[in-house]
Amino acid sequence: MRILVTGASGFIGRRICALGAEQGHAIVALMRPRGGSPAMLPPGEVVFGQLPFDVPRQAVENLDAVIHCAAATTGQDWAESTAVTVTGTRFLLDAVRRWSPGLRRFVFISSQSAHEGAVSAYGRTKLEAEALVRASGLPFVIIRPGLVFGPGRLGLFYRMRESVRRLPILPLLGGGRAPVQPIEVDDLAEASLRCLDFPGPESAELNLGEPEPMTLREFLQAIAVASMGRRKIPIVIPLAPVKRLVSLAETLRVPLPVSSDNLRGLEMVRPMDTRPALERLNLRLKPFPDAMKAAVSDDPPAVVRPNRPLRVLLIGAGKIGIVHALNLTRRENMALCGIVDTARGAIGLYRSMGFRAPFFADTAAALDELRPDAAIVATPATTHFGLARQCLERGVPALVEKPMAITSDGTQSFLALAGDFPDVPCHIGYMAAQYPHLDEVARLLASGEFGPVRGFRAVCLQSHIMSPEPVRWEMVRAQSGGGVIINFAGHVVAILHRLFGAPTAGRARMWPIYSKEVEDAAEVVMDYGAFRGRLVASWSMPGYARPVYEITIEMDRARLDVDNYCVVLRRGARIERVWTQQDFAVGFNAAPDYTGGGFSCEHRNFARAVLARRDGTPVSPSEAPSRRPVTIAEAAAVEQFIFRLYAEPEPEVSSALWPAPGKDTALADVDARMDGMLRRLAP
Amino acid sequence: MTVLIDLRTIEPEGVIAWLGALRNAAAQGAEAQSPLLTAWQAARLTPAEARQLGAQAAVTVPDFLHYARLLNTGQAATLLGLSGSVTRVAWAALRAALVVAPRPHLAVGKDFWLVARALAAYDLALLPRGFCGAVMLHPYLSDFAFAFERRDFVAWFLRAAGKGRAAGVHTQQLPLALSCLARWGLRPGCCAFLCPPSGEGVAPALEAGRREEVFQACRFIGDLTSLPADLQSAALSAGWAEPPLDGVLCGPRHARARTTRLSS
Repeated sequence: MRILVTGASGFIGRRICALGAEQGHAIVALMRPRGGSPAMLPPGEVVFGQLPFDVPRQAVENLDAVIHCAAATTGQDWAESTAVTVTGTRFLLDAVRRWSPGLRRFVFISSQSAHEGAVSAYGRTKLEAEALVRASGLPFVIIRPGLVFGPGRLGLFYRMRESVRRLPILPLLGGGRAPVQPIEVDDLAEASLRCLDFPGPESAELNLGEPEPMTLREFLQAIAVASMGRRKIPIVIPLAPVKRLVSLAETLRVPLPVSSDNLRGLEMVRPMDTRPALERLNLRLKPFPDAMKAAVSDDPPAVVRPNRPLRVLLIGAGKIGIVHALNLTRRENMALCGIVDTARGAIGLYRSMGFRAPFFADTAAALDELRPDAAIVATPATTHFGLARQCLERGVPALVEKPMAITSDGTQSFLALAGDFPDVPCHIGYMAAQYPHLDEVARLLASGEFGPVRGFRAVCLQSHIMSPEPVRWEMVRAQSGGGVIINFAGHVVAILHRLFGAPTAGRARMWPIYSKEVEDAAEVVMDYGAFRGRLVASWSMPGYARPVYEITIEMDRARLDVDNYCVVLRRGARIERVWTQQDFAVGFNAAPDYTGGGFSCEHRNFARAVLARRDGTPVSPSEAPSRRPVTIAEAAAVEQFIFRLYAEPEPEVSSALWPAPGKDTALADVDARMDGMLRRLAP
Repeated sequence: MTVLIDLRTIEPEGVIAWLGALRNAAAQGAEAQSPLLTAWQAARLTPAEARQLGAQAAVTVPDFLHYARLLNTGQAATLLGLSGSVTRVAWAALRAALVVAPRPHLAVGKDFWLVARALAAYDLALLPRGFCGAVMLHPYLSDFAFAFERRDFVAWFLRAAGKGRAAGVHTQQLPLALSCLARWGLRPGCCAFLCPPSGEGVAPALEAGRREEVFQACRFIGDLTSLPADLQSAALSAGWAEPPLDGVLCGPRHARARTTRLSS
């Protein structure tokens, strides 16, 4: 069965995922991003999301069943509880009705606190969510467990356990007379999974826990005996003043082991008849003393197929580093394990933004101490080779930002490096060549549906170098290797390589506007034998605060307009189809209108290669641009082409160099626009 | 349906001409269109002119990319000159300083969120009296705040920007934004978001969000500015059917008004 488990990183959800995976189910584990923490993830296909509304479609498609555990569990925050538990449940029900028409069972993990007399936000919102599940029209099972206990460091039980351990006495709120019907977490997980086998569409509501209630006092003493081998001296504490104190602490956002909700729940809890449910599920609960003995351990039971995210070291805490770091905190199979930068200011900035990872000033020290699974090199290009070598020598796969090298010799050195370490993945950060929407372009070109390519036009424009001072690193050839072509238009050259292969020849004229050592604008002609294309690039064009890449590809019977965000297929004046980055499931996409999808796919491809090496899982090759990493060899081909342009610049690039399109073609219009741009960029 | 025209890339001297052209077009019976401006563009308006923009107009603050570029390229003076008034700049700088002053240790460390607050406070103080349009947080800051669970920052912004106006967010992560706002119990007055023609990835969240009480007063504006010009035109002329929107945000080419600057 394909089962969605929500709240999959929680105390209960995590065990349901583990048990479900052990039983051979295909688990989709929906959980909130864990801020880049490299902690173990639940087994199964992990999908990051956040109730109430941020549930990716891939999590709710083609499901056989849902086990819905997610809820707001702490505090008296009614907004949070209502949003997550009520609105989130409504959204989830709508989503599975829409995307999983064959759903056989919706299991809702409610609570013993969910009853008409409930006063806490937790109990009231669980009660409301139960009503939504009942009214959904889906075959459902509502489970109301008693107090759930088990090993690990999550949930209410862990907080209770820690309090019992730490305190010299056993404080008994309200005398500890509240009835408790505990259930071990794996028993609850097993029960949830057994509900999936209920025949037919019949729905059910099940109360689960020990049939004979014990008092809270007995339960807490059982914790004390299991964890310390002795009972503790009980002290009865009246509930009213404690409630006031806890409420005050919550108002002041002081973390406490118990919440107001817990206290209110204590007062209102009612014994349940659990026998019918246990009989129906044919479930024998673990004997309580034995289960409690195991439950006081900090370590949850071993998981059969552990899901350990890749621990990735970020080398270089600059602007691009922020994009990488943000992605690493939101990507399911990667986690940021450390950041290297020599600038203290950069470290402070990253910390203040919210990145939680150890910082290092020295790459070797970070690699040796952290032993990461992979590294991302986002430093100035002059340092790329040395850093990549340090990583690969230690067997650490690397994703190196572009340009890979700033000289032709530099690309040769990288090719040699790839030869020295053929088994350690090293990808180069031409992320635009991995845009998800390029898949549609490649597919249409390969299909030949609209005839052969007649030519293309491309522009890359930005308002970046807009004055001679200050002299930025991009303007210094020794640091940048060149100007706008290698440092900005390189992305478009890489896209064109991916779509059409390497050009047989290329010519370029280039000129400075504000820089002294490098070109600020360029016009490039690329020859592919059967057709030619023209590229105009500048980073000194007024009015482009945001960089723009645009490519127009003319085929015999249609035209494709490609930019950062979308692809438009046109036939004559008619728009046939539009694909945007948002139409592709690439996981977290930080900026779908710009380079976000490129980074997403680049990280996905890198992670896939690294995981394949770590876990021995083969990567099936794909022709789709978004699923192919840019290797050293491909980056070398792109950069060698650019270095050849630099080696033999043309004083003039005449339109005679490319076949002039007929007046009726779309390219003629684009040429006219490009000519206008060139006039604005005149030296 | 509100049609917002994104004038944020228009040079300072062109803004007044543009606003006049939008007004004239409306006076001549064209469908009303309102501008989306930066704070420094709005700062160039008199209170009366600002009032005339009406409640449908909007600004996005702070003008994050533009300011960052000017500061990175040593053009601080240009930044200060953008709003065209020394008094207003001084007032805005004072407001920004007041945000920073109580947290000197964070200021020394160039704390990202403190700098973000200071920039937003600077821009909010630039807004002329009489401006009653919506004020939205820049998408890069909104989305960072949502990703890092910075409820404090978003709540502060909605409070600071919402004095007598609709305050909201501009975002590229609509589902995440709506989740955070709902969980935090924050009630935006408007929400502009990147909206693909397919509705993929945004439509379910939008439909569900609109039903929720916290978003009852929220105007949802689909940001179409990343689409090619003819697609934006088609969306405007045909009306935007799905997902249901309260307004759309288009590039300046789609203004009913025309100025000579644009046509050039």
